[in-house]
Amino acid sequence: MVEASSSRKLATDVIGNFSSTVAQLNAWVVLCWVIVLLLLVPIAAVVIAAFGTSSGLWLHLSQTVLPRYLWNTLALMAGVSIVALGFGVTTAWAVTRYDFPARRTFELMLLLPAAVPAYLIAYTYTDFLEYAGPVQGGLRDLFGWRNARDYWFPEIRSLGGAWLVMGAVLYPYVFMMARAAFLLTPASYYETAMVSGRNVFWGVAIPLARPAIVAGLALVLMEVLSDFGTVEYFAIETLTLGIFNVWLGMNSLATAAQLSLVAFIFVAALLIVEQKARLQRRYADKS
Amino acid sequence: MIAVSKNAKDLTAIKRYEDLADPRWKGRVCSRPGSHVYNRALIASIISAAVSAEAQKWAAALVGNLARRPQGNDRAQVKAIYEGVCDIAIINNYYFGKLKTSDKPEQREWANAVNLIFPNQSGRGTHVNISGGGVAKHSKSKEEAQRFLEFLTSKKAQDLYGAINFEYPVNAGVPVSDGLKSWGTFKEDKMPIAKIAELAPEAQKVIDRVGW
Repeated sequence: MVEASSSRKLATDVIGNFSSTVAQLNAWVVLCWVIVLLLLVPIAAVVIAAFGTSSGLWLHLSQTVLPRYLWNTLALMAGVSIVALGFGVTTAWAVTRYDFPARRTFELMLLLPAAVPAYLIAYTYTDFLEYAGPVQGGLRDLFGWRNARDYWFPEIRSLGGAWLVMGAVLYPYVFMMARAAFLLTPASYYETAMVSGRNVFWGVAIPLARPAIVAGLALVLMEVLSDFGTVEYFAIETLTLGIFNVWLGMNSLATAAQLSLVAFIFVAALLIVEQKARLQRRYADKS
Repeated sequence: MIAVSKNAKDLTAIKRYEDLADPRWKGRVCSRPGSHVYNRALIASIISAAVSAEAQKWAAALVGNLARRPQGNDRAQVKAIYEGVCDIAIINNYYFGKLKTSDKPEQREWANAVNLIFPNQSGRGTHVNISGGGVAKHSKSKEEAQRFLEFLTSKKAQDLYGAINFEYPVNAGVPVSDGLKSWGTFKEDKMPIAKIAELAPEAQKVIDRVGW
């Protein structure tokens, strides 16, 4: 009798636990779906808007600005990649492999630029480096130049300027990932490389950290693609700027949405690159 | 309107927007990007005055005269003239007023480096931008919105627009502010603003084609 009741109790406990687990699971699943749907709504809206008629604008765009939009977007991505890799990988290597005064502080400070929007840095550098700024003003005083026609100075509001400004703000993604990868690489690998006379950085650190670096870079490039503030200020005609021109200049929401889908293709490609990098990363860890 | 450098003496030849297409100004014109709403509206007004093909020829010639890649805002164009980068720029006059009365001495210097020209005075008049207001069709507070718009067109608000922002009054009963009066009077292009909006997509196509 006692046994029967206790086993019944056990059974109800198990069922109770199970159903509460299901209920909990359901609550989480539902919550997840709600969040996912909320995130998808704007993207879905763009896709739906893209079904509208573009009233022949694509022909116009492809004959005029589209090649420029694509070229500038790719050139911006390429240049920012170089700057972000240069800043991110070298600083990560310095703080993980070398000891120097205030190394810990540097480790934290190197992350800070990520907190500043690129366009603010763009404004700051422009004020600093333009004709009326302190750098050129100082040079003019020093050399007795009278105006802009007396000397040449690189134009900060340019593609090159955007590489520098955006790279300087976005490199922390690469820094963060590269730093973690360098720390995870067993020191014995480095030692083996040193003993066998191989270059530690190029021969071991970079190949092993490559998946992490590529993943960081993919994030950088997604930010580059979506930037509006900097490219607008520097007047660089990228896809993002083009979307605004088509939408507000030609009153064509549909064509703007279709252009956004072109930008989506870039993002999708970056996502695939990032995913592949992560798979390689798992492989690298196992080995 | 057209801002020109005080240092260059040959610029008195500029009387119309159309004159900016003259190849003698090669390498001497500054402008913000063509796609900016001010330039788009200006091209729309030129399309309206002539035909699209003419407007495109004008815009292409203007782009050919640019001293640097189109960039920056209106103030940046005045500044570029001050810096000696170029001698000619198309700007909205209220930015000029803002610079002239700026609390930053260097900005007042920029303004002092240029003269203003009211273009097309012997023809259709100078192109004018507006500060406009409207009420959303589905607004729940139409009455309040209307009252607000009435305030904006009242003498008090219009005086503020003129004194602080150097804008010309839309209310005919309100006199032009003293600051604006000091630059002289001018004939404005009477083209209806709705026409500008209608021609804006065509203007944007022109901008795309000439790469402004």
